[in-house]
Amino acid sequence: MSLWKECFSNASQALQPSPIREMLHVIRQPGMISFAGGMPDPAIFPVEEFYQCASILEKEGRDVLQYGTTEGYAPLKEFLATWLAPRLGRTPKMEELLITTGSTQVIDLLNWATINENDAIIVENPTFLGSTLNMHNHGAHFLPVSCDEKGMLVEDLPQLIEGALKEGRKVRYIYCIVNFHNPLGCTLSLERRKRLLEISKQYGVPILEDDPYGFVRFDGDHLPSLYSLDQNEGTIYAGSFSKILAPGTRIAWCVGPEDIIRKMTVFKQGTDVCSSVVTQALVYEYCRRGYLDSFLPKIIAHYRKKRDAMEQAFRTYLPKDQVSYVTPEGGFFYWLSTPNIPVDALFDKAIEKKVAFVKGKPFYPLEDGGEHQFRMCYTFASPEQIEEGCSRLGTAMKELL
Amino acid sequence: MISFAGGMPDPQVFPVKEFLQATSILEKEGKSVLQYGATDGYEPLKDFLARWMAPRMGRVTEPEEMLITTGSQQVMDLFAAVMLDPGDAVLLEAPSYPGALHALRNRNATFISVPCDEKGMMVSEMPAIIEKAQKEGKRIKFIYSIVNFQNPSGSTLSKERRLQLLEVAKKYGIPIFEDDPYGHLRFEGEHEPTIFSLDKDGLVLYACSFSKILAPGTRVAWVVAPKDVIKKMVMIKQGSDLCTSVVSQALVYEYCRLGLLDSFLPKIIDHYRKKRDGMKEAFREYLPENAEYEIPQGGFFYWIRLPGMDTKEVFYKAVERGVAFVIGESFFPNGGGKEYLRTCYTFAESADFVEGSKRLAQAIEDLRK
Repeated sequence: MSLWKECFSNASQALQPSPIREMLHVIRQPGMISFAGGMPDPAIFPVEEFYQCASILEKEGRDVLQYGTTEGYAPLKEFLATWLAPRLGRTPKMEELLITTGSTQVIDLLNWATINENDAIIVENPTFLGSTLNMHNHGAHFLPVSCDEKGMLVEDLPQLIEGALKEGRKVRYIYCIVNFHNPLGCTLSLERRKRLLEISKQYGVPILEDDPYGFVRFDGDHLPSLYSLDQNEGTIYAGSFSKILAPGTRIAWCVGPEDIIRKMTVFKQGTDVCSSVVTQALVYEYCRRGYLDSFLPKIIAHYRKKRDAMEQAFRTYLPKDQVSYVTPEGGFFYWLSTPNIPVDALFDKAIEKKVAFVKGKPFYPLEDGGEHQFRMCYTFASPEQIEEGCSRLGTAMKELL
Repeated sequence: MISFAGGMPDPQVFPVKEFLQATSILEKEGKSVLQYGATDGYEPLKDFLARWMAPRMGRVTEPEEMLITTGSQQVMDLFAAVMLDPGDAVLLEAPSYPGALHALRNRNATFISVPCDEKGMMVSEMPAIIEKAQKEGKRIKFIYSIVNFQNPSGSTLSKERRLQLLEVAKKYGIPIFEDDPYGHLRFEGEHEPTIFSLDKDGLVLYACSFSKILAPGTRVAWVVAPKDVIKKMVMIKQGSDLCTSVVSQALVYEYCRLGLLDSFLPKIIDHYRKKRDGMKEAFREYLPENAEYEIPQGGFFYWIRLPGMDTKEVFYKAVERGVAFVIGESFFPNGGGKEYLRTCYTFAESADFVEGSKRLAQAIEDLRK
């Protein structure tokens, strides 16, 4: 196959398989309890409700089987505009809303529209791998900013931006997972949201507010979205049906100023023309029948129990004073720190004991951290598996101390 | 307005009832269908396609050689990412499909045109074109060809030329992207063997789609290529959309498994054959004597030459008269095509062919005055 390899682009020659995917090979063993993948629990998928929505294929078959508009299925867009209004602070216009094939595509399209080779994106350190993979594929330069339990340390931004500008680099946008961060589990505080917007305005650097988990809040009050607080049209808000309905639909959306949405739409024509109209129509019918609203509380209650089960198991089985974590108020993940245990060794030991998690390092885009940190997902495993898995993890830790 | 412009299927021939039968899979397999899917595609669909495509591919391809994509537009997007650095050249038919050009332009590709006749790309011209481009320092990364019932020309690459094309690919070390969205829609005559099936050296990437043989609203297509190419495309897809709608893939799979793809395809072919004939009769009756066009043996399009005319001017007149088409220039990456226009016969209603052709003829007449 040397002929093809000779023809590969520089970017694709350099492309390496994602560390998580490589890890999945190790994890696929009989008896393994996995807290690694960030997947929803299929036990809480609304299978029956979703199946009922197939009726739309009979009623609207001829429209639904045809090519759709690149912007998205109009009835779904209208539903979303209304449904999102409380979160966005107003009902967005149709021209401000784009339906995408999963929220990964939001990042892809935004990068098409904004990034030239070596342009910078500010990202939380650590952050979601899927997003940084796409940014990397577009040749972006990463400007990571540290986080604590209240999210991104926004006061570090001015220096970071000024440093980049001095190097002659264009800083294209700030990528922020605002609620129940992946992998950190933290939520950006209201005070920091306001400050982030000020900095964004001051330096003219817009924000991509990524919010796949925001609707899955277990306790406490929802914080206003950056989008709703923003007075300067500097924010794009991205959301998805992956966590509030099902990821197999691959239906997500973004809301932003008309000019950037228009550009992203043009790039979407070149990447997949439109998202599956069949799936968009099924999702729309699910929403229209009121299932989204009636089922969401069940999903939240289901995952709250699992989070509680995991925290209880941490308290019972993990060695005291050797582990620290922040209790997430929603979302999918715990982020654990083990100052006295290197995570590479812990991972090997854990796999031996048949329990898996994701090591911290791959979440750091410059691989400059995470040696003593790892991510645990509580949504996919059953409560029994959570207890047994944490017990195994505790044993692995104790053996390494 | 009567539109012969967009290249869309006829919703009248969508298998709405049949597709509805397939929705039972959402009940039976709901838990796996609603979950994240593998980036390379829904396994049962891949298995089905490997067997269903075997006669065309010359063998049952392996799972690692196949990737399911979100429409065949995504094949070009991913493949271009794998192959092209800015400024790299792609050798392609002139005219060619604007959607493909769009995805390639996004990667700052340059285009090297190969002239075409009624047998497709004029392969005998290629060595001189390639050698000239290489002398100019251009890096040609692949050859892009829509092999059957080409969009827009309607032509099909002859078997002889397919074999010659493989020789060119081998001699110059340039792989081939064989795009085949229309190949299954043959109205008469024999299927030509795919370039993929004629190839012995692993030089060909083959792409096909459910858009024309089932329905474009599914956004499910596939690509077959050497394993290391597929592996790279999968890695790019992970960062682009992670996986294609599993819901959509499962519905398409169930439709295929129930035998509906095979039982319904002949109906689609019959339907479009009649429409091609209907448009032909209307053209023969109303278009001016000197209008030149071939009768396509399949696919969606007529490609018409109006000697001495600028079809952009015809277009404005035609729209005034209430008929639309696509002007030839849109299909030429490096200019040209002024005398050409494309009409699509699949989407418009047969009842409008006569009126649409009359209006087109009137528009041409208006300009000649």
